[in-house]
Amino acid sequence: MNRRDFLALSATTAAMAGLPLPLAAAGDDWAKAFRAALAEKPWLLGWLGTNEARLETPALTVDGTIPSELSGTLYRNGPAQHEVGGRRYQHWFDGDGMVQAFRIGGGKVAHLGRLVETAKLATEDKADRPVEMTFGTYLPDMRRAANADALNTANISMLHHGGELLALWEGGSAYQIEPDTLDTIGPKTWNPLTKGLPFSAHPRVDSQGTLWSFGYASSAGAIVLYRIDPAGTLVEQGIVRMERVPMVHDFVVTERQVLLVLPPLYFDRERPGAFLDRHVWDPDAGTRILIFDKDDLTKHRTVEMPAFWMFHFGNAWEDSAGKIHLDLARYDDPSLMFETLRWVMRGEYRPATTARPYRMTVDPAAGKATSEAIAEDAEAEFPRIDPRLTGLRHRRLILLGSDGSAPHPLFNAVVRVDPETGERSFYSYGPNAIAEEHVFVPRPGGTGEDDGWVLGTVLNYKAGVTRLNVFDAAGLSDGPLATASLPYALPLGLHGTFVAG
Amino acid sequence: MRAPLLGLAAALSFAGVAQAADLTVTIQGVRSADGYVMVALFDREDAFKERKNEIAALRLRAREGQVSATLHDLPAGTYGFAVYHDENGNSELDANLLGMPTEGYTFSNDARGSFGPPGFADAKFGLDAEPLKMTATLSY
Repeated sequence: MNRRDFLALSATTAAMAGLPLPLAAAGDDWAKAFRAALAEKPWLLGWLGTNEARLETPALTVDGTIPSELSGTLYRNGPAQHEVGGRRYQHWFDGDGMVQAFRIGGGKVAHLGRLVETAKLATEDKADRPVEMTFGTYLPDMRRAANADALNTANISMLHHGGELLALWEGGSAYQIEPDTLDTIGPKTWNPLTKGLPFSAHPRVDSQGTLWSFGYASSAGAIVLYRIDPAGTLVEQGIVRMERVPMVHDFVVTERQVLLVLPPLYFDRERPGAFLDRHVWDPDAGTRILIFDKDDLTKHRTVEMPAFWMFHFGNAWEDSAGKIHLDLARYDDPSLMFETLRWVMRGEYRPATTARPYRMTVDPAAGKATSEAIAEDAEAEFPRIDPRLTGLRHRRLILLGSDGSAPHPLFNAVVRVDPETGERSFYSYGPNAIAEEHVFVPRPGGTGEDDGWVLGTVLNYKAGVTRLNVFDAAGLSDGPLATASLPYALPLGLHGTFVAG
Repeated sequence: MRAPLLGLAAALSFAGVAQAADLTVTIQGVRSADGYVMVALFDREDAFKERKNEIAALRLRAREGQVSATLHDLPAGTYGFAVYHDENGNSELDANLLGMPTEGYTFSNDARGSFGPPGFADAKFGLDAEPLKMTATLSY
């Protein structure tokens, strides 16, 4: 990028974003192509990224009224540093993680965002270039992936459990974060036997307060299961050995079971390229569901289904007949991850298969499973439920959707749907918005899935700012009760968790 | 400096060999003074792969920063070394339940495998009649 281009961009996008624009390295084709495209497609602002290690706003501008009972912190995480030394990563999921804390109380909101100080970040700060191979980028001068934590970006989600706050990746250790300052404490070691093992970005805390998690160890030929008590002590780890390990982003628990749903996207270390590129989609192998009893992780039953891909589940529960009902955002294949979410980093929009909400029913006794669309017309992702109902029957799913007016590959609306009747409420942020994950926050002392709030962030790329929205859960279509605006745009993130207090 | 050598598998002086040279190994990035830095030198691919039948083994008292030792009068040939920081001093490279190392380690040439340990092809180096200095950095 020449100086004139940079100034032109400074005058528009960077000023809009309110943040210094990362400088592209000379000769970095992806960085140059992205900047050229950004001038044409302002929605790319969500993928620009930042090199700021810290972002802070003590009091956001609030429109409307934040309920006085709503008190706590929404912690979010996502890939944020998309360029190191001016060199740009080639997949959305590659960037170094940044934890965003929105502290809500007394009708006010404060924001603090900090990059997670991973081992990778320290190495690359020193080198001032990308050193480690990442999830989706393997440049000629990058190091091979010797072990998972060398490339750990801690960039997917957040978990608060047993008094500890963790920034979650999925290929390696969780990183412990100090909840107030967001200082990085270091990789979380549950016990010596699980040190350095993968810990997923979607652990589940069941109604007993037990934390369940898993991790897929592609190169070691195994998936690890974790059972962690309410105090945060690992009480049991299980190992499922398999010849070919698939990429598995999420899982579910019921009151009695743990279910791993394994799409046929298999790791093959002999293939060239980054971690993602070493995976082969093998639809003939089908999608397998492994069902474990919570009290015996050493064995499982397997149910097979025709191939499908998913990142996320909403929840699962077992009915009185022993059938398990499971909600998910289902794709026909993983092309979104290989195409759209890669090329967007170059400023290109390459459409691929999108997700729809599905209800899957698994009959472990008969060894069968079926699935059915919850709302046939709805594109939707990032399903969440009332966290108190994890593993129990839920009647509300909160998802991101689209009204069809937005020119970008993600979402601009929030949807609340009853997975049993398909009845839905919907709110669109309009054509200039990219909505991020929305979560349900129960009202203190409240009961039921309608008694609380829906919280979520939205990037308005026209205004160049990120906003936090608070809805009455029962009145989603009426629009937000309150909107709190940051003076800058945050890099689009992935998942988060609300910690009351 | 001649390092404290304990538990050697083979004699360290190869004096009398027609072509021989000294090899100085420096291990950087030692994060603490706990335990020992263990270096095993191999001259064959199969031995390197199995981490057995090393021709020399060094047990160097750990020091934060770097440690160094010289092997004298090695015959000319092709070598590779594997290193770990035995921080708890149990004389083993500790591993998690899937066998992944949980103590710091490295290899000659700072060789890295691809989703696993490197092969001899990436770690090997040649030694002829000239003294050679090799440096490698521990990863934890």
